[in-house]
Amino acid sequence: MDAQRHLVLVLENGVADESIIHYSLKLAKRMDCAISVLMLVSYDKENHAQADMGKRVLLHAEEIIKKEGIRVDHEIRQGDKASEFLKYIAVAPTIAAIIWGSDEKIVTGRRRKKSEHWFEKVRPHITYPIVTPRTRAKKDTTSLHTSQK
Amino acid sequence: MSADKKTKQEQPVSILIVDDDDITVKRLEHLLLKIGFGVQTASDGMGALSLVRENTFDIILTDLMIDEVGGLDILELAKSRSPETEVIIITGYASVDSAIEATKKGAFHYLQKPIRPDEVRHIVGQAVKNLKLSKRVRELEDEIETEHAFAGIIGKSPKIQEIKTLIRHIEDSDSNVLITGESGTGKELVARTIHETSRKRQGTFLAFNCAAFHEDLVAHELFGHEKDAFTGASSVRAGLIESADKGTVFFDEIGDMPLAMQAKLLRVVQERELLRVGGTEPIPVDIRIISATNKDLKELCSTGKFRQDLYFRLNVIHIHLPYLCERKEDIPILSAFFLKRHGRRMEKQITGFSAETMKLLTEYGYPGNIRELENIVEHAVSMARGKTIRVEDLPGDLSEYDAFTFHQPTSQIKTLEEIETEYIAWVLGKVGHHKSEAARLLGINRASLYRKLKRAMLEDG
Ligand SMILES: Nc1ncnc2c1ncn2[C@@H]1O[C@H](COP(=O)(O)OP(=O)(O)OP(=O)(O)O)[C@@H](O)[C@H]1O
Ligand SMILES: [Mg+2]
Repeated sequence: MDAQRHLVLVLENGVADESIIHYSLKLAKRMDCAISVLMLVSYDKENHAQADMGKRVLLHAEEIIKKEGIRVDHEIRQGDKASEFLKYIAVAPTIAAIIWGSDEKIVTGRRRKKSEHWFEKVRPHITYPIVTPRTRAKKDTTSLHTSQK
Repeated sequence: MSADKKTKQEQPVSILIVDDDDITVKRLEHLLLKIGFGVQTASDGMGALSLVRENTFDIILTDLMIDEVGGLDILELAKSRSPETEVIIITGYASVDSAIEATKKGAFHYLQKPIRPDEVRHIVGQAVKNLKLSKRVRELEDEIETEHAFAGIIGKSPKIQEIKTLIRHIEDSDSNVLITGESGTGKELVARTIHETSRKRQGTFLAFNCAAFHEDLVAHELFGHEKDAFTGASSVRAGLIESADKGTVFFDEIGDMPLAMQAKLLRVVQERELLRVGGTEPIPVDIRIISATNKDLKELCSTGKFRQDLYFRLNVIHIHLPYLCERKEDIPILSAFFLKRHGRRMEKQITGFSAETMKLLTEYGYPGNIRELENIVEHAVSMARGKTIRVEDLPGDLSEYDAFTFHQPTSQIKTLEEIETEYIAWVLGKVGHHKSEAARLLGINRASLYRKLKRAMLEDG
């Protein structure tokens, strides 16, 4: 077990924006943190593709982060995202902050769907700060899964 | 006090002009007097040096080549006497290179002859602005050194003042303290301060990170063991708790203390005694326990991961540290404090932050709280080339990204509506209260924005 603080980068649906990895790196450096990348994929039969993609994304992210000398670990969890996330948080030691790295907009009021996003439901249970970064310039569209092909 | 400040403000900026060319001196003097500065002049090097020795000027305008004494000599003397004096070098076309050299040695700027009034006004104006910034930082530094400092805990916001008062109140108590707060809010700093101001300050302060050890190691580390307690235990070993007898033990990340250990710890707290591993004879200990966590211990209790009885015993005095954005008013003084610390360490003469920089620093969301602010300032100090820290010296993502950081209010759970309101207020601030732009960013129409504003009473009227 280690005592270093962690930033948890939360991703979902097997994809990640390359820029979020770089953002996490910078934040981790100035918070003296290691990074844990968590990929959440909902569970149903068609989701094998997402899970496979997610694994590749995680490996790629890990490679980028390692190169910068930051300690990193990753995990993919498939199932009900809200409860998988809460279970992960409950056993993880020393979290310093959470980075919301999904494309789905939370807290920002820009959600497309009317239904409540799962993250909104778990938020009250999280005592850690949650960062939602967004580039000020036009959104970077390079995705990790495309760069993998 | 305010009258005192006023007279200080009303004192005119003092300027010394040095040039062997009388016409230049006269023209500059006329120009600067008209603006309202206090002006003295010198037309030879030795005269200038003695004036600098006897007075402290805010700004010195000096020719680069006067006589045997040069502008660089004046620069050096002025800076050694008062580092905040801004020196502006006057130079002919031929010696622009040396003037640039002089700016590397600490001159603020250079003016090229022939003198153009507009340029003089502009550059002197800049120097005055700089002076004001340095003065502001110096005032903050004075505050750091006096009333607002309490054993290294910087801050004058009501929230921090309250905590300092509380620490003073419990100086004579041995009660256990639980410190909660996000990462980087100063939990360890506060724990040390409590120890250092307490009756146990003669004893040791022992910090133990509960997340850093494997469950089976924790017992041996904390409680020690008897001889032959396990194979290889050839002698008695006292644990950390014993070694901190009459002192303070700081359990960091207490939420990660394994359940089995919690039972043993409870015994220490309740009975003031412990059993070494493999031991049967209780050993009395007298320790004060301060614990810290950024987890929700109550929640851990309700899910059975933390013993409720232990929680109550540890939580006799509760100190909750606010996250940095809850006390934004402390950002300038903390920044000045870290600027001083790292400027000194890196041997850089940086006097302050540009207004734009301070604006960014104040608006940022700090998921890593004070630790992050310190690292940002440290980074900026190492990047800075000039005397003030500019936006370019800050980590790039502060201006490249719009990072919204949501902090969980620990005192009371906020409703979604409150969060929405906070977010709308934040977006409005970002776009200079331009409502159509805010509505566009929020992905709603203007009418709904108005409705929401009215509901949240963010709208006047
Ligand atoms: N009020 C303050 N004034 C000056 N420095 C502070 C203040 N609060 C915190 N710091 C500094 O910020 C840094 C982080 O503080 P500290 O280690 O006490 O935080 P923490 O709450 O224990 O964080 P973590 O939960 O991540 O362990 C330290 O360098 C500390 O000296
Ligand atoms: Mg700490």
